[in-house]
Amino acid sequence: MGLFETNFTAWDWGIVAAYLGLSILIGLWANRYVGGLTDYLVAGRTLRIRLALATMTGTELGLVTVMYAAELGFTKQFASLYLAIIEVGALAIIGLTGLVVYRLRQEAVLTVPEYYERRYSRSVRVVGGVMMVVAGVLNMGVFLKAGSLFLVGVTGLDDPMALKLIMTVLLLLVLFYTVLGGMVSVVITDLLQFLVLGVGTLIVSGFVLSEMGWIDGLWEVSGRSYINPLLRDDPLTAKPNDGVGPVMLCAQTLTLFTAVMLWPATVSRTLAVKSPLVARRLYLFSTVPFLARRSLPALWGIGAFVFFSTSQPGLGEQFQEAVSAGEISTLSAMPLYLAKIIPSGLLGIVTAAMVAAFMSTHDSYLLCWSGVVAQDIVDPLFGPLSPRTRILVTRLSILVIGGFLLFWGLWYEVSQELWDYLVITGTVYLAGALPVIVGGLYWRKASSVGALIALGGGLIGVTGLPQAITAINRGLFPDPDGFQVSSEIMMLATMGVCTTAFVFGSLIFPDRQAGEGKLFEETE
Amino acid sequence: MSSTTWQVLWLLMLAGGVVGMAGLLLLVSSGAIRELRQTLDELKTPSDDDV
Repeated sequence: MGLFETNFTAWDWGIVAAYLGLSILIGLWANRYVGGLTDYLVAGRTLRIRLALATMTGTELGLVTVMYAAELGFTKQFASLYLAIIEVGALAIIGLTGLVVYRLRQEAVLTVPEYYERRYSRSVRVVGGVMMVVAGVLNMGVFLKAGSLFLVGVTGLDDPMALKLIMTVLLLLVLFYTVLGGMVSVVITDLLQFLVLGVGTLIVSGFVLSEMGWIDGLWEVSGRSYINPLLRDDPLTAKPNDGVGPVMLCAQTLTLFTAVMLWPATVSRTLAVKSPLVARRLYLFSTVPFLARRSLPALWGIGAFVFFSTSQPGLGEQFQEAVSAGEISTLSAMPLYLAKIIPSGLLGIVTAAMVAAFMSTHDSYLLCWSGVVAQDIVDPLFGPLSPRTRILVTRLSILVIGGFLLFWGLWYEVSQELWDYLVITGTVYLAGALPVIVGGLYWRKASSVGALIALGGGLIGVTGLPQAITAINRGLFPDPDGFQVSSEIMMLATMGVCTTAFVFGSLIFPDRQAGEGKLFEETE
Repeated sequence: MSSTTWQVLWLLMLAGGVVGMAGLLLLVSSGAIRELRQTLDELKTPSDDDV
């Protein structure tokens, strides 16, 4: 058996094509329900709990999530599941207390920067909108690449041009129905995508578990793999500091907690639900899909680890050689593994499920960032725009961002683990948003100047990228045996700097009209 | 924490993911279509910012 051999056949292509055709029809049909701007951006705020759950899961269980969680499962095995504990814990706390999200939904805003203007000033809204779009689009920039790596691994396509064409067509399809039907389209397609995705993930998990020998096999593997995330050194590799460790745990806890509360795509779903109470419930119920989105792909990655290290050591050697030669990365382990263990026909359904995952994340993200461009950058600077013009600007923004994604996604090479890239680019937005939103909701002395400094300070987050880390260490910490900065240290530093700057900026430069009147009073 | 505790914890997380996804599929598919119909009916009613 060759490394790139696959069970994917013409039947499987047929299944994927049929699914894509259905998505187009839904996009066309949904357009008739878009009456106004509120319908377009937040589906008229009409979502109830089941529908909200389906669309939240569809958005958050994207193909990029599947890819990075599986990569972590492959490289760090069971220890990678620490992320699931942090995320589920954060959701449960927010769901039980309503922390931030309850008040945010009660503000009845369409986007987070709209809240910035209501609480602070118009300039905070524009700067907040720009930072959100920059961080979000950079973050989203690698989604296409991750999707293409999955398709290459599963289908065995080795023609780079064919692959680029497929990815372009997929993106165009998403652009088509998102531009046309806005959030209404997104919600309807997300429901279909959730159903396909749910069935697909269960099929794959069943095959992986059966391949590994069910519970007994899992138990045996857990006894000889990396299981303790508190250890900085991965016991299976010779490389030092290759594991997770306490500093990384702290950085990930802070970032993930902030992300589940304030990541714009998640917040846009919070803002679309029927009431603040539903928003709270949505978080509590979301613990289940968020646990699934972290644990199931990690299981597939662990399955790939066992397959390449124990079941098929010959293929494992080929895989390592291909990684060392730079032909593939550890991201390809899971799709290459699935291509061999899942039979034809079912592989088509699984691929359609993953294409569904790809599309349901892209549509929500595209709508989210484009909505911010129209509502929070163009309208405050050049407006007031009519609802019709805002929808037009949103649609144009979707197309422009889509073009950027195509360009960036097909040539940018991720030089670290995918999750690390995502969390670092996410920090650019989250580090500023955390003090500005939480402070705005709960601290009377929070001021516009403090907010502007904190939001701009998020840019320090790019120093967490490997190129910047290398430059900093080379210039400031040249001794490789002494202190060296790392991405997790820079993430924590960015969070710390933004929060400190926000507090001092607010105390030194208070608003003329203190925000006391703007503070929200909670009512059930 | 001992190795066995970690092993038990991670296996519980994995089991929770599988069972959770299956349960969620059942829960959502049992009522989401009805909710979708209600949402679409509400969207048919003209809103203030209709264009």
